[in-house]
Amino acid sequence: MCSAACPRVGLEIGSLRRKEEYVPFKIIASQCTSCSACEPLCPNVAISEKGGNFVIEAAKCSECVGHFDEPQCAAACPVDNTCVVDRALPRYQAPV
Amino acid sequence: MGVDACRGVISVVERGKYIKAAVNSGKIMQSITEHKGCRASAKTGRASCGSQAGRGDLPVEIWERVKNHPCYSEDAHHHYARMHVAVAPACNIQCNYCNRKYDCANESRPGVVSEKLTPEQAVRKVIAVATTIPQMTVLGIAGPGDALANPAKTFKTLALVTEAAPDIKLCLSTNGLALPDYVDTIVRAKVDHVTITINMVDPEIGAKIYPWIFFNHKRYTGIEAARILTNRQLQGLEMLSERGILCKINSVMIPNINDDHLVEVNKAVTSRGAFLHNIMPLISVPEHGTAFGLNGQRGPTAQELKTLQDACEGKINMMRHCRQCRADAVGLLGEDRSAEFTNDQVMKMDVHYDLEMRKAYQKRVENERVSKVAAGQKELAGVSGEMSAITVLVAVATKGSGLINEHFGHAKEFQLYELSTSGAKFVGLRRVEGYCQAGYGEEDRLSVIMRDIRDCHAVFVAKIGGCPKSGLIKAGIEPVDQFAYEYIEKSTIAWFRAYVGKVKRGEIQHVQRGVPPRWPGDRISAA
Repeated sequence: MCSAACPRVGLEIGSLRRKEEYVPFKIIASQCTSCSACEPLCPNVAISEKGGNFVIEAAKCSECVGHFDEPQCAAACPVDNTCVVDRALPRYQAPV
Repeated sequence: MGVDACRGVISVVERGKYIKAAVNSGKIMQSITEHKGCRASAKTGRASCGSQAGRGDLPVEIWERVKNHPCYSEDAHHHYARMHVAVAPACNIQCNYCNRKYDCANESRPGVVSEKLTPEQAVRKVIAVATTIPQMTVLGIAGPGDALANPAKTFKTLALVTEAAPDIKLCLSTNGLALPDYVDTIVRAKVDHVTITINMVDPEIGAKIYPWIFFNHKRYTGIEAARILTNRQLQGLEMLSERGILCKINSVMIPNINDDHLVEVNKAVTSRGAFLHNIMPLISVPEHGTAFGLNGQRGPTAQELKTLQDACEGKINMMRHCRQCRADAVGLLGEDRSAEFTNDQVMKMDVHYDLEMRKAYQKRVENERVSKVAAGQKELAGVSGEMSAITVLVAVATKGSGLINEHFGHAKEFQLYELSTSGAKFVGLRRVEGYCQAGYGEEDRLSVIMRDIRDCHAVFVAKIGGCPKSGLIKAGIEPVDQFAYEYIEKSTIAWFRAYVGKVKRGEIQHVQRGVPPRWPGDRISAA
């Protein structure tokens, strides 16, 4: 099955996307404890602190595909459902 | 039996090896001051001189490293203060007893802070506190997350503090997951004391305490997570012990989950060279929003805690004076002065590190400590001739310095001493106002205190009002205020001597007091 073979594990099963397109993650500010656990883990340096809150720069987020098995920010986040995918945001285009 | 005996020998040999490592490291790290005029007590065979009070059977070199550390030495906690700087907000594991989102300024428990600091802000705060509280001898990094899950911030802070305030002892506390990777860095940073929180050595039990860990860029759950965690913790402990770093093990006692199992944990950490074991009661209330708080998991009773601590006492010293403090606590263990040192206030202060002033102040503290011990010894000499099997528990209201110097009405906690013909032994604490108890009237407060210290024969205070005095007498607890502002040991032993005398003369009858209260706050449990 294509979804089992897909490196973007567990995400968007059944929907075929162009390889260069990724769904970026976002941090729900009202739930974020600003613990900073996610920040140093991001392989794309997409996370930074802005005014006491941590934010993900959607244009840089690649779901960690090609770097790690799972999105690092979501895996390390101590608060459930706080670091989540955001389909409303513009998508990352992998450099050609 | 034979196998057990054999294991015992092995563990003793191993422990000897670690003590040797610690002693060697102590020789390198610190010059050893000479102590003169020591004498061994005929009764216990233990050295009992001046500032070595509380030393017990520790090698001199190790005692030198802990004697001014309020967490590692019970005696020191009356005189010396510590501070934590909250530079490490991130954590790499989730524990069911922890929720770092919740912060109440009136609350004291691990994982809670009012503001996090950068390493630069932290070192400024250290200097400000060191100047204002010259008996502050120890700086710890205890979160609010995990010190080693924030290695860059943690080690930068330690380096800056070493440079600015070289006489301050450095500590850090960790859950141990990242520990094996940082042992060399810890040694290089001149950290002398490390606390590892170990709640289990059995992954099946661990799975009930830790929902997940984040390790090697992956989130693990269940038994697999707990297995990785316990292996890393024990490996880290062994590595630190071999390097001569003193390790304290913190364990959270969770009834029906790891309470019996902590005896196994105690054996496992003792055989790997741990120096001190601190079994703490689970703090669990729904308002904190922790998994245990929400699912109704209760904390242990004071009696359950003491029974477990007693069962583990022996090959390793047990810490019984822990206040489970915040990750930004400042001051003596019983007080919290962190509100005086917020970042805004520290920025306004004119900070300047005065080492000579600190040394002079600490010398005065040390002199006071020597006279406290001498007074206690003198009083004890009068009672040691007596033959009596009586032991009584008394509560003491103190603000520190080893003195009875707190008003009954202001006391937030009482220190418990067990009195017998062999002396006054510190056995624990009873907090009477530790957690949010807003809305309690004065009368309620008195009944809360009386319930919390109902197993005590007497309560020693600097001052007490008429109303609570008669209330206590009615409840059979003697309020003692004639030793106001005197040393705790000397006063309690003097009182005990008089008590035993009265019993002998038949003036009063000795009766055992009631059941100790539950912990914390005597909540009725479902179990």
